[in-house]
Amino acid sequence: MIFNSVTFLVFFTFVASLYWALGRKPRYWFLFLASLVFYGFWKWEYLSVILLSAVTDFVVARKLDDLPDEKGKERKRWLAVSLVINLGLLMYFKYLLFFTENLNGLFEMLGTATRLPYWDILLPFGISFYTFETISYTIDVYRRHLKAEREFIHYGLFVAFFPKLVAGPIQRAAELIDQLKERPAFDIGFLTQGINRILQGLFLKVVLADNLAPVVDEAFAMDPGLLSGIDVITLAFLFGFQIYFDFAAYSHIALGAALVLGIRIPENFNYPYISTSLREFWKRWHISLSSWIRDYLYLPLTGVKVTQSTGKGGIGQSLDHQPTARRRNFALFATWSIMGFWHGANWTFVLWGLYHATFIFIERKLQPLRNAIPWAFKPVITWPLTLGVSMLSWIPFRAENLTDTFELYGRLLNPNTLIGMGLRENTYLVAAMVMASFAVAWGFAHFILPRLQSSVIWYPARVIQYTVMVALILVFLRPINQFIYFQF
Amino acid sequence: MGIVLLGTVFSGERSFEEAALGSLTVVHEGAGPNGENSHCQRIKEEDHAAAIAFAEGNKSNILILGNSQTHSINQKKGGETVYPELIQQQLDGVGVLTHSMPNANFQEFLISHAWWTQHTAIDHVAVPAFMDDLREDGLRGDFLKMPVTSGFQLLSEQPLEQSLNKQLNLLTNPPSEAGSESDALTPQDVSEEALNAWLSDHTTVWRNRSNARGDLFLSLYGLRNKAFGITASTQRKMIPARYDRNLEALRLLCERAAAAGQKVLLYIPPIRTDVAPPYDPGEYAQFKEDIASISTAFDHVEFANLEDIVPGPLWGYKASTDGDGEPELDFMHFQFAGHEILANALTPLLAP
Repeated sequence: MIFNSVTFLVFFTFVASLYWALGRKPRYWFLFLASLVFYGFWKWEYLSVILLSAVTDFVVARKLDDLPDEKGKERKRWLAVSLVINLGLLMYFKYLLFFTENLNGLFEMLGTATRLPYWDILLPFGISFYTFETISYTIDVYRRHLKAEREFIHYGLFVAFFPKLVAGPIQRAAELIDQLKERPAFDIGFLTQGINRILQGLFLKVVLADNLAPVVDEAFAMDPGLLSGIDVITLAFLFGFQIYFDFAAYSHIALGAALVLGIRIPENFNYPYISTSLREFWKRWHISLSSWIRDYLYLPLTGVKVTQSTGKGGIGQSLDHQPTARRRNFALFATWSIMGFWHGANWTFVLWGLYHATFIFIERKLQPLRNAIPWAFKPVITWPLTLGVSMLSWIPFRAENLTDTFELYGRLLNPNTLIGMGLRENTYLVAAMVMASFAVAWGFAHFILPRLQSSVIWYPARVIQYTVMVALILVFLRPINQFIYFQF
Repeated sequence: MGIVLLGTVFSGERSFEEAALGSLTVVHEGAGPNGENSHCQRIKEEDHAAAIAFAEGNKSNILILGNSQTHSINQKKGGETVYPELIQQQLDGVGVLTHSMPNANFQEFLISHAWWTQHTAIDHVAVPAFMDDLREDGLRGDFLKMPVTSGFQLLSEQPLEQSLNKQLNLLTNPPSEAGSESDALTPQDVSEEALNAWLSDHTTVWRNRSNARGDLFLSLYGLRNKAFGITASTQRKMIPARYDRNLEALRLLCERAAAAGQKVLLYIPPIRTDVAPPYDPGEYAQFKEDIASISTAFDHVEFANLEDIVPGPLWGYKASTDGDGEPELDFMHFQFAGHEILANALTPLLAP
């Protein structure tokens, strides 16, 4: 089920109403069943994949918990069982077609007649997200950071909890399971704050992201050879904002829906485009993924022993216990390649990851220079640079293939093709307006809104704001575009 | 309160195109000699079926392609009609089929022409070259309803035609609204359709949502025009990439017509010439040269420049596009007398 649909609004109203009327135990089962129905509205057949992943890690985690540290080899074997099953599912559903295509391409290049068969496989929504959740749970139990759950319903609900099931935020078991076990007393604050977040999310999705989508699609459908460097920058900014509105919208709705049910999910976005470094960007963008990657991939690859997993974002940050520079650089590039590949089975995503690794590497090397910039000038210099670098990273993320990606970057790097207007005038106008609106919105939220809260116009202003928001959501609410991150 | 606002501000039934044209210009479709439905604009499949049935009874058929100039009359009075119907009245025994789409580009003409050629016997094709519309790109399913619903594809290895085939295929098989990539309907598809149908049946607000979306975008355009001082007379610059794709589509259309043994009349349509046109003079001259040079590349293509045949007083005004209430010159849609002049100019060129 997708959030930007009438079906979801009806479903959620029913679920939330009944949820608060139920007692503690029926509540688990009801939420679990509601989550399965939510997922089944897309493809009920694929519920078996979620259940297989959940049952595997439930059983494995109990074994890992029960086995003493002395039986280290056996514990490792059980951990391997979980990793093989979870990563095997991911490999089969998400990457088999990619490897088949690449191997067949290689066979063709080598002139052999061998060809692997293509299987018609549909990617289950959310598999990348819930697989990471189940893996992190098992690793946390393996590391003795967490006790294994003894009742399947608690663990099953953690995996299937519908607000975050399809596109995150990626949850840690420690953050969610205890909340799901409790029976929060009904508080009107849950309802008002939750509905507020849902409305914000729907507004970002159906009013902003979905109306930017045709502009972006039309521009990216053009022959890259006919565009200028300015056009490429415009496309990068437009898609950068589209994906931000789209994904932040999903996170807002997920957080809001959970909050209506009395469950708090950590924030996943925090104005990423105001960052003054890429390290800061990754503490503000898809925070749950960057923190997962840091705790379960980057830090182990640097050789640092992880003593506690946290949901705070950021990759490539300075560590108290410094590994060698070579080890850190290896971990940085390996982590980002995998992070790119996690997003999609295409070389363009690997390139996107390597792009970020390269710029974070450059950022580390230029740190002394950055430190030398006078405090007052620092944001003026570092913010536009970071914004430009992060926006241009979206080119491989959105382009159809590597050829288009290199062609688009080529237009930007070639002085002969840098200037020119290959897009409709409105496209540049929309890009400029969105950028300006984002800056104004951030300034308003941080400097003006806090002062308004004690003023007499606060409540009338809020009424007008919500009236307009609801009217616009109703006008544009159509499930015409799935959330971009569904495909990951 | 949001629902109340929606119901108050956006009410009433009207089409987006009518709102875009303004109140001074009226959409009107021509008809066959006995009132047959021979002019297809956008929506209904039965229009195409009726037009094909009409064409089958004629000794020869002309296909007129066009944009909103073809299906609109400025300051229309009772009984007035558009130039395709006037041509039809002058040509005995010849069927005049018309397919007009607002802001139609040559890529859409190419698909429309190929589809009609496959479905009925066309002898002559009239193709107007509107400079405005060469700023457009791609295909719109709403105006190519039959090719889209029938899963039509061009048989071609040409890169542009392959790209148009891809677009057609996407329009024919859009990704499921619920995000599924398979052809089968998901439970979400079913429930969403049922809920939307129920809401549309029971609430005016829900039924009028598409009008509201149209009105909002028109308001945004008005705001943009006001902010940048854009009027109907403001010069529009050519967009090189789109221009090239459209000229390539025109070349391919001429090739396909030649292969089907059809004659083509390629013409520069009337534009208001008593005031400066809304184009860069250099670009407009180049455009006319490019169109003429395509016609000379093909034996079966005749070229005509009809840009100045409709005198200034026979054009009109359109509603303000920047919200200040002052009517603006309309460079695209003329009055009935203009349709008569254009019909008289085209008839001898299209007569068998």
